[in-house]
Amino acid sequence: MSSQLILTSVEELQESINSKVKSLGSIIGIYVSLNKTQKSTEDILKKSGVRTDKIFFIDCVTTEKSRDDVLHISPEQLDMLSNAIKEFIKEINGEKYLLIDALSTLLIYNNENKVAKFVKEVTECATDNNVKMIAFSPKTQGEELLNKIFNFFDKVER
Amino acid sequence: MGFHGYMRFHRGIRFHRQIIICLVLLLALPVACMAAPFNLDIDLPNTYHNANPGEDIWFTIKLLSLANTDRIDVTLNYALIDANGNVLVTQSKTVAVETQASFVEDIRVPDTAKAGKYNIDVTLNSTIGDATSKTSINVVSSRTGYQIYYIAGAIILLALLIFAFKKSGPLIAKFKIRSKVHSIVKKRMR
Repeated sequence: MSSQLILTSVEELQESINSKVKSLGSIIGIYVSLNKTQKSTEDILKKSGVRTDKIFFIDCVTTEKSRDDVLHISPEQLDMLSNAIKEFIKEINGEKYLLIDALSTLLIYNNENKVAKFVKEVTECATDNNVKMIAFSPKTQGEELLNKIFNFFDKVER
Repeated sequence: MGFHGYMRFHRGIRFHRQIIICLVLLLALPVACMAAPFNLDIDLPNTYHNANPGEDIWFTIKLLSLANTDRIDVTLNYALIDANGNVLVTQSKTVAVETQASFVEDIRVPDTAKAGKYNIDVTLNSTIGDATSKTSINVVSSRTGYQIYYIAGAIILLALLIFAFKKSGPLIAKFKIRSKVHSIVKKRMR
């Protein structure tokens, strides 16, 4: 399994996510939604023909609990977020992927070093547990952060 | 009367005076013994001159029988009495005594005793007479001292609890997330 950082324009970001999730087919996914609510993300994915029943959402936008099967974590709590991702990776058996939409959003709430540390922890955990990791980020945002975290990914796609 | 005669006369007077003194003493001793047949003494160690409420006071009773050489039973009554004459504690004990004896005894200061001067009275009763003796102790109120320790202990305990709570906060949150993730995965993977 590999870790991948996909940098794309803001306009093409959602399309890129949809096609990536579609390509992963029936593999169980852990979707960390940092710039859209779980409901909005799920609706968009469904509209693009993606089955969302095998996706576990971590909603970092809303704190209101709308569904029991969705975990809500504040984007400021990177330790909690990292911990939640690790727990999902541990709990879900079989092949799985981790998708982060979108990394640069974390910079609104945290400094670069903290985000870089978080990315390092998560990529290491994904690698150790044979989890495919795909992180998305708009090209134009958080360039300094992106320069710091390039090395943590096996592949960077621009 | 010459010099030798004078000296002999004086020696005779001195001899007679000594005999009279001995006779007086021999007659006076039984009378004295009849008046106080026992010499009763309490030896309270320095460490017990000041005591706390609830503390045991240990002391030694030294008993000397002046009038009796036979073995007799005597009853010793102890009492702890406050400055107003109120008896707080009484104890009694019967012992066999010949000419002299000493006993180590203890009396407990009640937990409710207030600070102040108290007497330990010992009364001896026997068939040949009675005797009494007393000593005093100071009861110091240790409650104030204890209260300070209690307050200090409570503050330390509170500080430790706050410290532990702060330290365990992330652990609790971690545990909550683990539990939540577990239930989500279990529910969805069913």
